[in-house]
Amino acid sequence: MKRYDRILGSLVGAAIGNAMGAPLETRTLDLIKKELGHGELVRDYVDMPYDAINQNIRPGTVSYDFAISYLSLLEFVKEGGITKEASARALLELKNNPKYEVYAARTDTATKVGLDRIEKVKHEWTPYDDLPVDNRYLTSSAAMRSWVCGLWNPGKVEKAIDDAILMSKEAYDNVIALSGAASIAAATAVAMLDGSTLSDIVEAGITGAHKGYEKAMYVARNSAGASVEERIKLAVKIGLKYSCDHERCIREMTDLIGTGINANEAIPSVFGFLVASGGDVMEAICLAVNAGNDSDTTGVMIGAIAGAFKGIKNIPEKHLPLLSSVNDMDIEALAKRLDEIIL
Amino acid sequence: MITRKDRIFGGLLGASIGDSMGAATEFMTRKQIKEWFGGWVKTYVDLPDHMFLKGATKGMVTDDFSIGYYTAEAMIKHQQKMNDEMATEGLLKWNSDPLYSQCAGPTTRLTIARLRGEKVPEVKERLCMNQRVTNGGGMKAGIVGLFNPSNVDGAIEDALTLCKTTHNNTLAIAAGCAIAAATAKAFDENASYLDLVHAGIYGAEKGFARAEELGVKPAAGCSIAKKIALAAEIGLSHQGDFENAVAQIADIIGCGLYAYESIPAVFGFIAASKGHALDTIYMAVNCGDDTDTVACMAGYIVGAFNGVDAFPKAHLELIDSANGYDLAKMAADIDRMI
Repeated sequence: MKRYDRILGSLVGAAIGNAMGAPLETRTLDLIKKELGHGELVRDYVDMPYDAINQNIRPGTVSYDFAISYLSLLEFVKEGGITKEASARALLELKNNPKYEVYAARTDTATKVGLDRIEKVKHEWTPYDDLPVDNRYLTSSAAMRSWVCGLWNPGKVEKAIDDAILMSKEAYDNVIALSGAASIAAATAVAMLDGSTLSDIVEAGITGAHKGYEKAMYVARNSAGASVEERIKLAVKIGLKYSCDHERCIREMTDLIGTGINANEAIPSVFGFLVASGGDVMEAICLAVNAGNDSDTTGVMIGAIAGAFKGIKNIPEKHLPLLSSVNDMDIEALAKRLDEIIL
Repeated sequence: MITRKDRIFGGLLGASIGDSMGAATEFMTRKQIKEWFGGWVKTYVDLPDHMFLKGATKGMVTDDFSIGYYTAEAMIKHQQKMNDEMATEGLLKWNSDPLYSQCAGPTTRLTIARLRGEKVPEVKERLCMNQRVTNGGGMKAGIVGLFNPSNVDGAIEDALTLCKTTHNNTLAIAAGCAIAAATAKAFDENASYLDLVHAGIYGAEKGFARAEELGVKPAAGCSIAKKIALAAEIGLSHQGDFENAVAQIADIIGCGLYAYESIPAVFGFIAASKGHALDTIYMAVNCGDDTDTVACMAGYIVGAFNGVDAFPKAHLELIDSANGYDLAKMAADIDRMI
């Protein structure tokens, strides 16, 4: 497969998962089926539900996750590589450019804290500042964009891990968050390589979580919480066990692993769903988004990995033009530019 | 034979021991705990300077046991079984103690402001508020188990009433019901530690179903019942192996603020230590993250299961004097009420 097809597949897969998952966010599988899927699993872009903070969002609109990934890539292209400064510029551009208000309005708490750190905003002292650990921000906010480090480093697991930490450590100063980010970056890097199998991707995800945690221990704030690595191993077993019954798979995954905002839920479940889907882009996304809770984030991560693995030809044709126009993003041009620039 | 009063007494003391020992290790990772204290913490140690409770001394409980204590005090004072008024009175009394009010989380603060008739800003809420699936229901639910010896269903109903004042979502309530049910079951003369796990799963299932019946808000998160079963499975396969039991349960189940982490973890430690009173508490004290809450919840269950004599006398003396408690009297008062 041409590398361009993998790059474009990853970008489009990530955007689909993010846009499809956004309206399903916070809900459970049962509530999604009942309220958004007319009794079935959701397999397309739907309207925002009645309780959404902003209901005037067109179906197909991506959320913060894809938007920051896209802007980060634009900055990395300009910079000619992945740097801390370019990553910070992307975060600030999304925050301050009114063009991106629809995405910025849905900035998560961990990112707000990270932005304050980058902008050196003084915050009032709280008792948490004295602790040698921080267990509040072990979220997937770093991982939801770290797949771009995998795109940038096809087949180079170590470099993808290092870049994921470099890209995120300033905003997401948390070892568990960075372990998750490294896991997704490593898996995407392997998915980009011709000849990689699903098991290679899963093993890269486990390696990424392990090494990412160890490396992050030197540069980031400590955090107590369940292990991304250990939970990936369990999620993969669950995905395999229920690979012939996808609804049951979603149920068992949400019941035992969870798909919440923390990196030790969303990232493991992504690998479980990847295994259950065999890597098929639309099926993988369907599993992840219908699991609900932090569905736009699981959606963006699984779409990026499966898209790189199977390539753009595995994705129905309608998505690229629809997503590009609804979000006013030239995804194709970005993919071409990346293919030229990536070593 | 262990008398009913000695089981109530044991539950109160066990929860206090877990909470006060865990107060020193809270938040930290397992590795940090070992490094900071030079090994596993199996006694009362000075609180590190970084802790929230400044000036706390050895043996002092935190916000976890104290809310159960104040709730029991209200019930004894009014000679009244659990109801909405008792739940509220215990909560407000607890919150008026500055030592503990500083620990209240955002959800509890908001509830208290509403109960006091203060104006709170109206914020548009999602149907599912998944960040509120926390262990604040579980941490106080053990107390109603002590008011319902061997009456598992009664404990579940009381836990429902107690938890919904502050944690009005199906999962947090199911978690509270699991702890209450297991504590009630611990009074059975022939109960084994497996029956405690069984009661926990039953309590989670029934509590969840009852909460749904009552129209409590839904939430997305893990299944309390299934995760209790998984935690117990992990615990059972690491019996006699303190280090790995704690590591596996903390790494896979989690011991954090979420109800679907710390409540199942309690049952994992019970299974791993076969319900042994102090061993279960020691595991919880050293699991990292929300150690004091996990140890407090575990303490209610294993304390009632083993009775007060399972704890060397020095524990009671320290807890009573550090907190100005008379737990023997409270146990007798509860016993008389039932």
